[in-house]
Amino acid sequence: MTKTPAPRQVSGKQWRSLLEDPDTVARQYPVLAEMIGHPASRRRVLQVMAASIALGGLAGCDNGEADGKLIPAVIAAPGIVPGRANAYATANVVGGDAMGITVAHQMGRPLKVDGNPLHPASLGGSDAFAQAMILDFYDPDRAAGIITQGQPSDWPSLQRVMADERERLVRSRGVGLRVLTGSVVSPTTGRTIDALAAAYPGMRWHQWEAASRDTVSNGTALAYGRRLDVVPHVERASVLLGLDSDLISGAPGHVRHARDFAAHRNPTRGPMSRVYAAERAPTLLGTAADHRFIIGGAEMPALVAWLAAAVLRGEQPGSAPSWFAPLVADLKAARGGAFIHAGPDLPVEAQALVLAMNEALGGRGRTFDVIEPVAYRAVDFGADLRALTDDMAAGRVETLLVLDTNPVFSAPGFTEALARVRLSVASGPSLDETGDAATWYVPGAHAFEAWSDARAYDGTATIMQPQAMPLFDGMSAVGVLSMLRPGFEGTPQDSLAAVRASWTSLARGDAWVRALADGVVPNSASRPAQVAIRPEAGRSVIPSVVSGEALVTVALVTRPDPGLFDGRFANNPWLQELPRPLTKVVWDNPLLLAPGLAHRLGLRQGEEVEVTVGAASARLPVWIAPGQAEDVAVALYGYGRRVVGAVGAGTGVDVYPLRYAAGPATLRRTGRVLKVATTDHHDVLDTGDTSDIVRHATLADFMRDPALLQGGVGSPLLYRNPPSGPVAWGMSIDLNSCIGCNACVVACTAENNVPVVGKTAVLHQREMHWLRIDRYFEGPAEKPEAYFQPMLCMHCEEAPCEVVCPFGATVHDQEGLNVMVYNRCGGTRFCSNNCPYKVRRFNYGPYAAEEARPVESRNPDVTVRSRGVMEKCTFCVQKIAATRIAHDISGVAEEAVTACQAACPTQAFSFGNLNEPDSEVVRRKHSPLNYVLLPEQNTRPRVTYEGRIRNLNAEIPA
Amino acid sequence: MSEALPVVLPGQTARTMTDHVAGVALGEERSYLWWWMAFLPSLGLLGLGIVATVWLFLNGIQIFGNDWPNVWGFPIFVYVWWIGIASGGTFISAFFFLTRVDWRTSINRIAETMTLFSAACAGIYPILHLGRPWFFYWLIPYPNTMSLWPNFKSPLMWDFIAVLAYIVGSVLFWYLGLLPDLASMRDRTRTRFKQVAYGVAALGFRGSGTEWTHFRAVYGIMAAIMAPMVCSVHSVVGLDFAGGNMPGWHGTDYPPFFVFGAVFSGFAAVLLLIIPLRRFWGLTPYITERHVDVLCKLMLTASLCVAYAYMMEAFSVFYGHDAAEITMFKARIGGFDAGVYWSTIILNCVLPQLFWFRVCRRWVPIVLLVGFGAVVGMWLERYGIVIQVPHKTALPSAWGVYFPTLWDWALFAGTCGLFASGFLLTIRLVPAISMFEMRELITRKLAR
Amino acid sequence: MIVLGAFESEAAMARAVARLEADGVHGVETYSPTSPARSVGRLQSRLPLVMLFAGLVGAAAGLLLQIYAVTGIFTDSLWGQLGGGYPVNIGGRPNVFWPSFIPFGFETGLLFAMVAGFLGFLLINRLPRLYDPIDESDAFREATRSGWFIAIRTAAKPNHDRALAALQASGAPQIEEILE
Repeated sequence: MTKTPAPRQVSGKQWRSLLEDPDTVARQYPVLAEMIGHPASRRRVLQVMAASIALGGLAGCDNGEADGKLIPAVIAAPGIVPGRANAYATANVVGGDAMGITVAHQMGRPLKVDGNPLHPASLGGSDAFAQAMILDFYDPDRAAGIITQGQPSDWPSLQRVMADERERLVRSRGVGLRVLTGSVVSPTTGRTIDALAAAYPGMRWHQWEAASRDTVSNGTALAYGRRLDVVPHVERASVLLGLDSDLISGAPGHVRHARDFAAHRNPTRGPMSRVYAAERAPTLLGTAADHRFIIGGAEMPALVAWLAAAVLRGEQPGSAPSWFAPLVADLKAARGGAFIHAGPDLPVEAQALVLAMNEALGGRGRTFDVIEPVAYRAVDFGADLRALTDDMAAGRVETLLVLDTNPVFSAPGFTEALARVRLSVASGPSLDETGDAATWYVPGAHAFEAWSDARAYDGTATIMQPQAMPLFDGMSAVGVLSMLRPGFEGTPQDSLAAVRASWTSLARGDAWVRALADGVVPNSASRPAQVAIRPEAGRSVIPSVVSGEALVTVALVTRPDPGLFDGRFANNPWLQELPRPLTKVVWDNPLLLAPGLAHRLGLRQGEEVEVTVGAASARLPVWIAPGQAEDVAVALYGYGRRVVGAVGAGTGVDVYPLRYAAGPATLRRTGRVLKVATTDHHDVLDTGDTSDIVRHATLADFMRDPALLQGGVGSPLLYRNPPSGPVAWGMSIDLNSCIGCNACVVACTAENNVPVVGKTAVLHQREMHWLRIDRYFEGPAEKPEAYFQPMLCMHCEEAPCEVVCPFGATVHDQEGLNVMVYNRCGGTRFCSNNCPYKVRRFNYGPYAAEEARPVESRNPDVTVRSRGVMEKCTFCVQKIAATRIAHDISGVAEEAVTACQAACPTQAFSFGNLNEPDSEVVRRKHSPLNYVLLPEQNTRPRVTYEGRIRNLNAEIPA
Repeated sequence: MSEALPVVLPGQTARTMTDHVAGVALGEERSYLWWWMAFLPSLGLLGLGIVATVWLFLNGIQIFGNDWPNVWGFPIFVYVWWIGIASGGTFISAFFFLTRVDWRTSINRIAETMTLFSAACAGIYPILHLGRPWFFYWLIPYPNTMSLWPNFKSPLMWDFIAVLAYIVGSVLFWYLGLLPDLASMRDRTRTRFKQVAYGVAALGFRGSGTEWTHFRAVYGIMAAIMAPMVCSVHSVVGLDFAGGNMPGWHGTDYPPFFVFGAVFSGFAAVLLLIIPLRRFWGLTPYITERHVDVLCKLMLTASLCVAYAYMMEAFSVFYGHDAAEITMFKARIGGFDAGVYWSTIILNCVLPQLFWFRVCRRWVPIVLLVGFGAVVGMWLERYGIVIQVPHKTALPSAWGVYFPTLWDWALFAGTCGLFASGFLLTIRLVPAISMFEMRELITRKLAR
Repeated sequence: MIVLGAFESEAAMARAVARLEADGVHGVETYSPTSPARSVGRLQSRLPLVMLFAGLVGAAAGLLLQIYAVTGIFTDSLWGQLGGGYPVNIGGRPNVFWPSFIPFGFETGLLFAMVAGFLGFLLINRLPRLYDPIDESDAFREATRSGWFIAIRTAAKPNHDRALAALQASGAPQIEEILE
């Protein structure tokens, strides 16, 4: 396995088992590991670790009461019926963006996360991060105790230090005390910090988010005079323009925005919106857009300026491209229904201009609202952190408390400044670079282990209830903060009490219980702010950006990795092995270059380049990204963690230093070629002569001939033995809705105990995802159209896989499910050969057994597959069985929801009984867009697709 | 023209022939040095194969290069290759027995022994390639408590029963034909141990008239059964692919195509075996240039059949106009491993054309070169079918490539070792030439 | 007692056999290094018929087994106790999908015929028979190389003498008497 030469520093080596160090294993058997192509050292390590993890605190952890007592598993906790799942609402907060979720429990163990249908940021949908939370919660690498100077310590020792510190702080009235947190959207945490600040007037509170949206919030400050949040109402936008936009992929509330976005993307279900995207590197919005314009890094400021001139002042810039005038005309014509969204990559001035344009287009109150910030205290993270590091470097900080943020890894200059702080205490759910560098590390509670609260993008509050007792003795944020409080008596503050104190409004009656059950505090959404846009906003001037002149100089765009975010999910194997939406790369963060640029530089896929920006440099493999502007290179930060668990160790390269360096990026070939694992194994631009895969058409053509995409369901069959059951399960997938966000992939992985195989096995093309999202490019490499197509078992009525299995291990049931009988499988793999959709996955190795996750974290309703067994999508047969049981007991109609369907933020999946004439799936299957994939195979699949329609602007030349 | 070449050189009698051939098997030949030089490395390869098998059982088939589109990889294409070689041996001994061809007599034992061990190599591969090989017996239709039966609709099930029937049939055919020779050995040897050993193996065959009558009847019918069986077994192997619906496999021409290739490689393998054997054991009076000549002509014929199949394969791809098939085929003839395809064409279709010329058929280095080329060519052809075709299937998202690992090669070398050591051991212990048939040939036909 | 006569050639042996037959000598058996041209003449092997029958039985059994397995027609009977059939929908094909049952039935037919032929050969010749009194003759070893022999098994003394005389008359160069 190729490893990037990231500096590695194993923390706590002194007291952890040697076997836990992956490098040790690799050193012991390097030749063997290479020679036999065996899943490399990391997987071995996982195995060793999994065996050594004790999960004492887990069994019967959630008794539904917060009295802190464990109930042995033999005594059933109240409300627990063996075999029946319970669900509890809470929220997932990632970088200050809260989304309501429900956590399904089996026998008291939290096992599956889904969106909370009552929560405005979710409406039932979710994203990959939320789906993957479970594995973070059970991560055995979290099992670190209190650590000081790299040595394990204990609570009394910490107490002694804290007592001295409190004495000093009380004397000095808190001078030299700093608290650094991530973005705080929790009123309770905010109040607790404020209370601490009240006790120590000299204290200062700083916030830091690596994946910050400072430009956006500073833009509002520029436009409105103070920091505000913009709440888009995408469902009301008939014309949408995204500028490097992360509206449906990363912006606060993106799951909700994706739902609203998809609501107007299928012409058979109502009028279709028109979406434009102008961007330097492809985004999910751009991929889903009707028109996608590739804008060079240098052209982006000019484009925003032109747009502003045209929209605000009616001017027509002379040198604008041919599509510019029709785009502006479209925006203006849709007055009141037009919305422009600028991603955080755009500078502050551009943000202000976009806000001014949105106001000018009459969107205020319609396509967007402006509210007071949902953050407890909105700040400019960059400036805030700079102030802190300056003070630290100047020796003005004596005591530093770092909560749930990792500035040593993700912030510029923090490590050096930290050396000058006398006492630093870091706390987070797992030991990270900051915890390692701080004088003390206190294990923090996972979001599932403590009470808290959070406000979503629109201000809606959720009470976050713990789902389990702390697995590894983690302490809640308020608990950690309370240690510094004057008069602390040795018991950290109870997080429940703190949260209840924040929500006195819920004290009456059953309001508290209802808020917990709903996962939403009623009427907590923010009211629109009564603030007018400042006229200067429209006159902002965007400073010109550096851009590439010479061949090897480009502008570097840094974005959070779609899987690891700012690096916090580096130890989550589900997210590590999640194929990134457009590149399908896993376990790595290559540098994305446009095909033309790579061609000019003579760079091949995987070739290593040294990227230098200012004084910072990093060595990254190259990945060719069709549809990217030629003068930019995209680096994804979050990889290259140095202090991380066994999963994240040695993966990817840290590009934060590049992110914080100024100036153009210089690329230099190093001559090495690295192996980048991807689940997209063919040449990125080679799709052969096969074109009838993702059917698509323009809206105009579709209106002219609605049957355009139909045709081809197969030829007549000589023999027929159709499933005879009263229920016929089927699925329809709307390609207009699918935005490629991957929530379904992780949901399927979580629901069905799908194993993670590791980078080496992916390089061998042995990934196990039951559900994959195929991404196809069409058109020239420089400017292709991209299409997403979720691909899962089609449950063919004439299943080719079944016929060829000599063991009869895959057969059909009466409800039309293509059933895989693991026990009967001998592993001939003929079924996979014979599957035209290639949706079957084979356990080449004992992948499930090698996983580091505790057995308690697996879905007990789904068999864990062994080595040598074929597996594939079952349509979540366990859920179907549950609905069948419910039907048999009480006669309710059989309605099952698959995991992918439940997770999908855009409702691209619809699943149900094809014999139920008025079910959603039947309605969708009657859509004129409905088509069968590979009809010539005559397989009669139960899964069909709705073809993609693009609402092109006729004025814009193709 | 072949009349110029006798099947048996003059001056041979039943007595001298029997003494010579039996003497070789009894260890009375002057030198077995060459035999040891061949046998010991074969044992080494066999040992390597055993190590690979143990490692395989410990780690599962992740040690192989198989991946997502190429779920079969080395084990299956090498299996097809071995069973193809086996077919050639049976073809010679059964078909040419039925057609009463006199040159068949001196090489049928070698051909059948070759069949036996290449079928053994072929037989173990499908078991070893299974994800859970310890459950291979589930393929046997036996009554069980779960009322579970194998799926008789699967080509792999047909394959299982066909290969089973073929191996059992080959063993019985070979053994029945060996009984009279084992009896000769029993009566020739002077050591007690060998007398007992060969005596037990001969089952008490003494050459009585009754025995001969039944022998002739059964042997003839067996040959008549083995002839369709050898066609069926390789047709079924062809159906393993044609029965699937992968673009490039799903063709009705596969069964005959596979049989052509099988006999082609089988003839070549027999050539490769008899040329050194006749030289080293002085069997030239019985295995004459006539045999080499005939086998060369057979190879040429089979090569033309194979060439026809390749042409039809290419023709049906473009005539059928299936986009996926065209993509696949283009990748085969122009992709990164197109060398495999073109080497196949050269070795299987072009090189054997040399055999149009008598001088090439008689010049041993050329014969060995073309024969070896055919064996390698068929290996590459199977590689192309099993490995290259799945590279490009209907959905581009499932495309991929395949690279064998060292363990793939190790197991392959192991089967070569199994074949070579088994063949050498057998040919050392039992007469390399069917003596009773040779006696018949010498005493009856040549006396005329 | 066995009277064993050795001959130089097949022709000589064949003449002697004809002579013995004409004389009405019973228990005559030839031993030869290769299959005699017309053997003893009278014997017609019934094994081909046995093989044909076994092949047909095998093919029928193979086909019936498949039908049984996919329909479970005998499941409730005694046969069912051994594991009844189990109809399952495989690939939307009918349960009795006869075209795909043919290869299995064909191969079982061939397999049965082969095994029946081999076993029939052993049975009909009462093989394996590792010892026979005739082996006591040293000359008899030639029977598997180039010697042609006639053996007459005689149960009683008068028969023996007659056989000996007949063999002598047929012109056997060497005659041996072996105690049974």
